[in-house]
Amino acid sequence: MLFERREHTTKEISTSSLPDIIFLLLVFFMVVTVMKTFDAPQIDMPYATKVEKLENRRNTTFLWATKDGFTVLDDIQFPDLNSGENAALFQKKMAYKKQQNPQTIVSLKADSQTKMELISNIHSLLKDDKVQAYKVSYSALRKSSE
Amino acid sequence: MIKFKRRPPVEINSSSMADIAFLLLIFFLVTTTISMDEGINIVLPAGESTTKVRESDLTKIIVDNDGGAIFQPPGAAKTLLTVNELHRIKSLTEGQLIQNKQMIFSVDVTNKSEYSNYVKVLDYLKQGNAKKIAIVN
Repeated sequence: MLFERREHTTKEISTSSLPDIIFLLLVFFMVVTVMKTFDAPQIDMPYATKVEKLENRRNTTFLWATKDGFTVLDDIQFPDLNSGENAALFQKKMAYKKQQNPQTIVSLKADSQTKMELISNIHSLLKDDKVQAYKVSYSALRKSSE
Repeated sequence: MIKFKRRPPVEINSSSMADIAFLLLIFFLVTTTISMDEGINIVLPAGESTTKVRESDLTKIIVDNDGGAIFQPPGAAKTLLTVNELHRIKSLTEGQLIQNKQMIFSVDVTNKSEYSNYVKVLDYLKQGNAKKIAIVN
């Protein structure tokens, strides 16, 4: 008599594609990770409750204002925006940015102790006919509602 | 007769590949900070344009050098607020908006005042649902 032998199949889940999945995730995180924190002036931003997220980082121009009265735009330091030369260069830079991207939003990262004189100065330079950058976001850290 | 030895096929063991990838994955998972920029959005008035506003639609908020504020609703007594009382702007704003939905809140900050006070006032105005905020330069 002939006994038929059953074929033994191994009941294992194939893990051969596991590295592929993991690599896919790895590549994703490698791409979205920003390792380099860019050099920025030392500022303590104010806190606020009603903060809104910036819609698009591409449309955002970051502007820094320190408590010492320094303004930084695109790695260019403006020690005094009251001086005609600095103000002209600032406006030229901003106007170029606005021209390149009309959707530009200026994210103002100012120190809590910055004097309003500087902020007012920035306002008037931004809304000047040469620049016309009207959308401003006062960067603030979120705090829970009081 | 020459016997050929059967050599096993040369393979690099890739079973640890997943472990290495996991290790890297966890590293990136931990170090990733998705940066979020948040702030109080405002639109500056265009150029030197001036718009006439009815006095009855305008509430003035004046912030002084020390961070205190004066809340001046139209046709009503002004309220003096110290730095610690700024939070009252929220309820005062809500009160004004109940009376007049078209109310414009103008914020006037002295040059020597600190930026944080200005942001605080704007924040409380926004918390009080003020939609029309004017900034006096």
